[in-house]
Amino acid sequence: MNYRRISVLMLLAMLCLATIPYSAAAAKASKKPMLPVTVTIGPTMPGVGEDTLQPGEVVAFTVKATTLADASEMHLEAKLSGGVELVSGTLEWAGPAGKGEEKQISFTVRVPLKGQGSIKATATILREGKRTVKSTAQYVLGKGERVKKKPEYQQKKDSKGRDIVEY
Amino acid sequence: MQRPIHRLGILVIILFAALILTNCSGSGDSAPPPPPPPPITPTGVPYPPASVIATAISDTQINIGWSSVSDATSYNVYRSEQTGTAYTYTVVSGTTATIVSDTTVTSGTTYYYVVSGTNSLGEGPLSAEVGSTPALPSGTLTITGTIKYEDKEYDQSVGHTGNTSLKAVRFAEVELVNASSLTTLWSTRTNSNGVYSISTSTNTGTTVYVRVLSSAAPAGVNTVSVMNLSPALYAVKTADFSLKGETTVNLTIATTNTADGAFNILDVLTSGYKFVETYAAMSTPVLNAYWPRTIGLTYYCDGPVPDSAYCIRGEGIYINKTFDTDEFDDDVLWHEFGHFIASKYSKDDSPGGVHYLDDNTQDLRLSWSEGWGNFFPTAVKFWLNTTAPELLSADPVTPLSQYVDTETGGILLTVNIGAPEPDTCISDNCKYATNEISNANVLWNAMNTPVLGMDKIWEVFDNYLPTLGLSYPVSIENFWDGWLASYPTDSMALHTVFNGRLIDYSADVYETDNTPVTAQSFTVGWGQQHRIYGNGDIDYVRFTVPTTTTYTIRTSNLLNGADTYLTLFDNTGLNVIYMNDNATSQPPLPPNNTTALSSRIVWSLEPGDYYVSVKSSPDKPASAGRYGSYTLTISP
Repeated sequence: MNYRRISVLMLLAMLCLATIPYSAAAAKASKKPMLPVTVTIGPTMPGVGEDTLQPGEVVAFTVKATTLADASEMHLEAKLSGGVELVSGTLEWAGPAGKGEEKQISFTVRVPLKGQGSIKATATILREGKRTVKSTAQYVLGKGERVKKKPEYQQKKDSKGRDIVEY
Repeated sequence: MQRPIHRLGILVIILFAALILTNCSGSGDSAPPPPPPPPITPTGVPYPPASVIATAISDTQINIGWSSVSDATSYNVYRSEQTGTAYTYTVVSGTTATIVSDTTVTSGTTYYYVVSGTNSLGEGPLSAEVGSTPALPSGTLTITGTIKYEDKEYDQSVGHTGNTSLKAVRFAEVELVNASSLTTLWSTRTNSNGVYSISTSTNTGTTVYVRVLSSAAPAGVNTVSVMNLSPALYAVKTADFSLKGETTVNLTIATTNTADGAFNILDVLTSGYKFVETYAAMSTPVLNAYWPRTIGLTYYCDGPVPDSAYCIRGEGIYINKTFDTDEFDDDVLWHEFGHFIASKYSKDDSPGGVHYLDDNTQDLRLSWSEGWGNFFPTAVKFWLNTTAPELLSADPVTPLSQYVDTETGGILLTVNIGAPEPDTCISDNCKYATNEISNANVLWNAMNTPVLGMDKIWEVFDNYLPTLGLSYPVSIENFWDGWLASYPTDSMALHTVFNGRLIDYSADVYETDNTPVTAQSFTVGWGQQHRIYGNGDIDYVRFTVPTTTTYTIRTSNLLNGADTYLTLFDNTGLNVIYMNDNATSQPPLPPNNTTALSSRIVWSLEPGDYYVSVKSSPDKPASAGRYGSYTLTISP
């Protein structure tokens, strides 16, 4: 009897699932096209973020790159600017990379004592000796000058009661 | 007794008189009165009403009148704020009157009206257009001006070139604001040239300013708005000034103004609306764009319900602004607008997500959806180039088919949709139905083939694809089927366009081989390339085994979304020995991985004849297609 009830319930559940309209599926995001190589940059230690980094602090970073297609050569590079100093590690790597393979470089830098600096990571892949594809990512670190700026805009309502930011 | 006799005599006299009258009337007999004449059956839809007149009788009312049409049973009256087009607002529908009033008018704005007659056969053509402008109330002050924003030029080499141009802020909401009380005194919209005219009866000398909002109504009724994530519309104001008789107040939004990007987004989406308006029967729905989005890429979210991941404000286009800024990347904006249009006019079954330009093992549904998105900017630019080239943002040397996505200080991605090799694509990376550039290139070439063209693309996109049921997710396969169903004589031209991307939807050289009786002989050790095309296509081959050996029968090199199902039969071609759907248990990632979806049977066979059949897998994933090609090999 119990089995029969369970079977009936399962059948009803299946029917319910089968009758859910296609449009009832979760919303989807249709994203813009991407190149077949991706690169990311961030602190190696989890939990370290732009907000927690202090001027002069030494921080480990990792640049990761993945290629969607076989690349006869991948070139991974990080460029420091704006007072960011290299403490240890290497800022470059080159070599072949297989489809879906992740390559990375790690290094430590010192956060600028004054102002903001950045690390720009670039991954370039060469395919069949002909074509190069480049992808970049950037990480800003350091404290910007704390100049109290007058707000650029005022928050108001328009004639229909909608919120507006007025420049 | 006298009275009854008297009454009888009167009755006889009356009946006699009635008889005489009846005969004198010429009817000849006493039959019932004739039936009413049958209703006049119209021979066609009514002619357009003539003598249409529109008269502004006050600052808030326009009366529209016309001469009645003999075979019309009712009339429809439509309105536009542009002459000669976009009669999307219905003043009245199905009225039997020949004069109606429009009280939803704003003084100082010119309205254009057309009238049509209807009868049982349908609605007749529109009448000639008449226009009328409700007068401004007496004693009003007028402010006119032009509102422009500064657009950034881009090319395919360096991204933004540093050159800029001023462009009209079109169809946008404009308000006259009391600078002291901040109340809105009057509101209107700019026209297609960015020109506005505001009237007010406010006292001379009042300090006011004009502001333009990042909300436009390019389709006449529905709005497209650009907001921040709060969400709040962007507004840019003029300096304060004092009201006086007639004043000219222009406004230019420079690139140094943070809100400038919002007005480029608005302008690009407005062009998208105008492009679609030339093909679509209905008015494009409301659209919100959210900028800046600092997490994730630029994307279109199709869900009306907000979620924490992507659709944080519900449906809309979310535009990225990090080091990869997209607010001046017209092609990226039109790509996402193309997704919006597909969701409103057609059917989009793509699972969405991240996708790469030269992945040729993509989900067929994703390839179509993104292919449409990649094609859409080129279609809008192609149209703009013939109608309003001053609205284009790319330098004149950059091809119309060039898709450019800039980033700060350079180019993130660029591809020529019309000729993707060799700059972006090599070998067969951008070929087959399973690649998004390939799908886009097919559409671009179809649009530019004289016998094909954008009208037919839109017809299939708008009228055929939405009719597909759940078993037929939208892909380039169904686009092909829909085109041939709608325009059978286009077959040759369409084949040429599709074959340019190695997409071949046609019977292969071994057809007809759909039964064991018509099976083609197969030489063991060789390979045969077949195509699965058409409903129920099954490819049979017959081969001979000379000595007892273990044979491997397999499909490989699956292209254009094929997913095979392999069956081995005995010498009758009827009794199944073994069957196989997928050669490995590997999940189909990427979706149309040619190994994961291929089939393989390894079996020890005794001497004799055998049959093998290959068909489209009945359990294929939604990412795969019904058609496609494969190579069949049988080897010891």
